[in-house]
Amino acid sequence: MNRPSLIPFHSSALHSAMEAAQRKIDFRRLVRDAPNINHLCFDACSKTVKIVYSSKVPLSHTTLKCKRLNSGKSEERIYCIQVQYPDFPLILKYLGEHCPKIKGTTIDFVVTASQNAEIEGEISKALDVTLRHVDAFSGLVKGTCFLLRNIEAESFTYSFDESQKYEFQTLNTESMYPYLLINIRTGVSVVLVEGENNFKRLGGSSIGGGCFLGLTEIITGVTDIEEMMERALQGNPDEFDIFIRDIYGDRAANFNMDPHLLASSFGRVTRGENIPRAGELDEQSKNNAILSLLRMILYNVSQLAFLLSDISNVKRVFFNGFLVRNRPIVMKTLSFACNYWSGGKLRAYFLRHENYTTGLGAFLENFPNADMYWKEYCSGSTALGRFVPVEPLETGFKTQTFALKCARFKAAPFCLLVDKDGKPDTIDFNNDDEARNFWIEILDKTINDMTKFAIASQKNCEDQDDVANRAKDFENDFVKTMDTIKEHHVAYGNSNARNLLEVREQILQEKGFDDIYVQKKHEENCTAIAELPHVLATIDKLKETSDDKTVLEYVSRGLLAGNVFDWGAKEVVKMMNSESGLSFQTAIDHVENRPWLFDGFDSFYEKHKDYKSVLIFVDNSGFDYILGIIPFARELLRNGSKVVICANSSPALNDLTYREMVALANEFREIDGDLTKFLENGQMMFVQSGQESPCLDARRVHEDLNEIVQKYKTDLVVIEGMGRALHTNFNVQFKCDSLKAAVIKTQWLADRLGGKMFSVVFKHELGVQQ
Amino acid sequence: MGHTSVSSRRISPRGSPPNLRRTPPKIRKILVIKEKRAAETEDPVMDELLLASKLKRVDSATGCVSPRAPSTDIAPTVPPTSTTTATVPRPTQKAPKTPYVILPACDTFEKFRKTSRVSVDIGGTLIKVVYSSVMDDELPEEKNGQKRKYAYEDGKRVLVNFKKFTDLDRLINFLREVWTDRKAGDVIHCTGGGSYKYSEIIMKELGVRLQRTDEMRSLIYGVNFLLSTNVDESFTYHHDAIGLNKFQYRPIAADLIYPFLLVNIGTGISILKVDSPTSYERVGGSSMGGGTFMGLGSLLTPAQNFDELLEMANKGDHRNVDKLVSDIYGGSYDELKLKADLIAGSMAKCNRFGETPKKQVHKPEDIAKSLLLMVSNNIGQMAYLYGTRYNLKRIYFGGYFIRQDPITMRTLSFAINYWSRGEIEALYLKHEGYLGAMGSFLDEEGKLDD
Repeated sequence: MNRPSLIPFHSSALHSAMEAAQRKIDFRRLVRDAPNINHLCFDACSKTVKIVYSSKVPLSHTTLKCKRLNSGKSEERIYCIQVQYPDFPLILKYLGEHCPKIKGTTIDFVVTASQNAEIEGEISKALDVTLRHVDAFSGLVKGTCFLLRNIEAESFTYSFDESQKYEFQTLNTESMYPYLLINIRTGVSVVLVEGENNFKRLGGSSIGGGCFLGLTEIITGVTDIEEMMERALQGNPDEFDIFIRDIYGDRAANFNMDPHLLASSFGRVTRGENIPRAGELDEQSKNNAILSLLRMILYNVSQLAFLLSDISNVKRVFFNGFLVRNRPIVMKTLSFACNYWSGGKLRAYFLRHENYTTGLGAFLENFPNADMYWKEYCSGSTALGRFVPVEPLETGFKTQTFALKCARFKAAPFCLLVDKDGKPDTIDFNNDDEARNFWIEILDKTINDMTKFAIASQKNCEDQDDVANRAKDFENDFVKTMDTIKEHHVAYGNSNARNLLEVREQILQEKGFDDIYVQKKHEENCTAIAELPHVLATIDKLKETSDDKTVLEYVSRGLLAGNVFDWGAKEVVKMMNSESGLSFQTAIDHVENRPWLFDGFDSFYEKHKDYKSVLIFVDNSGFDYILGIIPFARELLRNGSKVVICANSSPALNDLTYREMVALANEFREIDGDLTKFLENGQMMFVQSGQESPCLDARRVHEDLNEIVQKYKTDLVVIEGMGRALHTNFNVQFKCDSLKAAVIKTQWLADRLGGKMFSVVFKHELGVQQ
Repeated sequence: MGHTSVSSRRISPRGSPPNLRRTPPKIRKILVIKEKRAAETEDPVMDELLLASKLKRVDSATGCVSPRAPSTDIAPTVPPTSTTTATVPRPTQKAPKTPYVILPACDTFEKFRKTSRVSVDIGGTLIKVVYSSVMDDELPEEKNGQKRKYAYEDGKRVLVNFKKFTDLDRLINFLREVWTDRKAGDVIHCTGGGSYKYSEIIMKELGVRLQRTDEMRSLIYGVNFLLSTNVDESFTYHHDAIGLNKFQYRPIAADLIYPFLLVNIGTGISILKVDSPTSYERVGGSSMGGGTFMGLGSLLTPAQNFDELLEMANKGDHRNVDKLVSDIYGGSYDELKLKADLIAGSMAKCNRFGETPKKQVHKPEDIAKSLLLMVSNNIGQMAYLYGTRYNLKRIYFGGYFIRQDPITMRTLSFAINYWSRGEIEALYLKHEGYLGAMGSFLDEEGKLDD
């Protein structure tokens, strides 16, 4: 290992300290939540140290009286930070001074090299801890599995043509195994992974990153890997390599061989009049040599990968290690070569957070909550890889961070999904610049309103300066994040409507605004509850005089009318903010007459009495839930169906949360006898989805939801609202029948779906039998 | 520059065909002597014979070998005598001093008593020639359980001779002298990438027509013929054994030859799965072959040619430039069963990560050794993997890269043995460099060039 020596540790620390002072390092932003660190792990690599720790962050809670209280609850987070060696002593010093909870404990240390002894000594001295060794390979595998299991869009493929396109995948424990891990460090190791603790090294090669660096340096004198990559981009392989066309001339096609195929790396060196020697190469020839070396090595690695994947019958191959690290030229070459060797059957996959895998996996080795569902916490992370250095520049370090937050439950794909890896998003913003830019613009425009709402939600806090500052922080961070995504849309993986909205919620939470619509939701719920008896009575009256179909259409229209109320839709917010406000009757009037834009009502009516067990994903609280969903559900319940209503686990916009839903159930008891009966005999139930976004990504739902669905054999899934039924899931197929219902409330979506404002989507689909 | 008699004219813009400067024979000789000393045996040791390309006669029971070749790459050995009979329209000869095999006396080959046949394989670096001649040495017919006859009724035998060139002009001069019975309308058999590039020159200079055999086809024909007629064609290499024991023949019954994997290591590498003489498939390849070793070696060492580079590699110690498992882990990495002396990163010690202030100097010998190990290890591994993929237990290596070099063969054998856990042995061919030329020689159905 060529790690810079740590011997002048103290003098270098002093030096860095001075430098750091000049750079105004913000330790609190870099080492977040340090005082609560309770579990820690170090992975000392050759160029950088990765520090992985967990910390319990106390959560606040906004009250109905617009105050902010300590909720007594905390959220566990895992932070991964990557620092360079010159900065490491400072970080270590900071950790020693600011995290009392780990003093005297045992922490984990990844064993990667024999020369770690010195740094081990420094760590245990500075932090007063004992180090426990964790094997690097088991860490690598565990970390990779953990990321794939938890993080949305963790893996991606890269295009092998010039389009530089990222294609993200979200895998799950059923679909990810078996896979090969090609770890390109000094050498290459190929690991077959069949489970988190079930892996074996299939082979390796000495032709990897070390070989590339070594040969490049002695041929060209270039020592820095970043410079090598820059130069490779300027290179031309024709100087040193022999191609098929050089051997067969224009007859190559006769042999079914691509004339541009590389026949021999460096084979041309000895063909000219004079043999070039390493010391005499001009700058262009150096670039050419680096490109030829890179191609030689990457083609070889990918051939090895292909052969081993073929022999072990593995369909997916992940490349990682310092040579890969999100470098377009490397990823493109590997992708091209995998495709070539396998005749198009094998794609090269990469990981967004591959540089943290070993450290993270080692950290998890002795961490109690490793089995829980962990979500990427974007507001604590630097963007993908190296090309969006947002945080590092601010903190004064060349660092990267990656944060995860614990959802405190286990997650799995929704069991009724047909394609458990399929994207929920109706419009893929990765392939649609217009859509992405439009959305970012919309979000940017609404930022002022959001900030006002945020401040209002805590208007009775004593320290109003603090509220204003946090609101300002939210605004800045959000605008900056949007700017990052504008420039690099893959910075945080996917940047679909769903993701953008979720990032906004995360930043709000990060700044202490846990539920900015809490008062608004409460107010609306009260109004709606007051109106509920009237709405139910109207239905019952109609039932006496009309046929089933009329009644079902009436409650369906009610469901759609409720959905008009939405604080997430700009046009509607205007109506709701107007002097007269928006009444439920006005909303019903806004629902157009049949036939609707997507009209599956007849087919729904035909089958609605057959459904024994219905699951409803709800959208907004207030009118939407109470006056729309509840009467609709009541009709199904009266037909004898079991109805399970599913709401978000955490607040997002004015969406109904599970907690609010359970609290509201008691209100219904005093209003309607039927509802009381259904609540008491368990025919009507509530469950949480595990989601915290205005959209629904069914690839990761709460384990309770799956349990209930399986237990009660759900035969109809109802998804309501624009976020859940249109922006996401519009094209998603389920194993049972489904009903997707929403009112289009933005002109943009209306244009996209071929409708107009307030067009109705009422899509009834039959289950896909497998 | 080494010895060169630079050709008088440029044949193509890319310079002379397969290079002029390569292979001065002197180096080869030094290597031979060194090897011989190392072996410390009195008998002519096997590797010496192999290195000198003095091949044992086909299925020789007596073990008699042809006399040593003269130590220089001298011009044609065919004396322009005319002590011929009327039936043979060209000079016969004594046992030649260049490598040869004797063709069995049978109907198929009888025609060569009357007409010479010449076949050339023009590769990326070398030109290989196979040509027939008639020998009237009255060697006793050998009896080794084989029923095959070698002498015709008149006591004469038909030989196939093998020769390498680095330069097209020298080849043409050689053929002009040795192919005395050629006449207009005769064909020269041809294969290799260069057979397209240089066809016009060959036809013009020799005044013959050119018949081309597809490269793969000629390779397979050649292997098939040599394996099935030459009992001692294939052998394994055992580096730790002494003298002759380093080489163990692996004769194979003609009906058991197929299927096998053929790894042809030229400038690049082709890997062929062979099911029968007419059914084969190029299943893979690699750009890291002999050209890579030579190319990187030329950039990084003062070596002038392949043999110099090989000789350097023989003197080098790769541990000075390679990172071993022990350099990273301090010893073996037991969790993954990686031995301490396993190479973790070829040439990896040559990078300073931009931090060591002083410039490092690496010995060219060490670099050459590292490159040779890198390339051969990799070929061995790829060969093993393709063998596993197609469930083939026998893997033959051919092509000019091997040159029966001890380090190369040792590394290839080690790699195959290591990855297959002893299940598969690397097999080498005595005529490894001539497979294509041999196959083209035998091909009666090649396409005539216009």
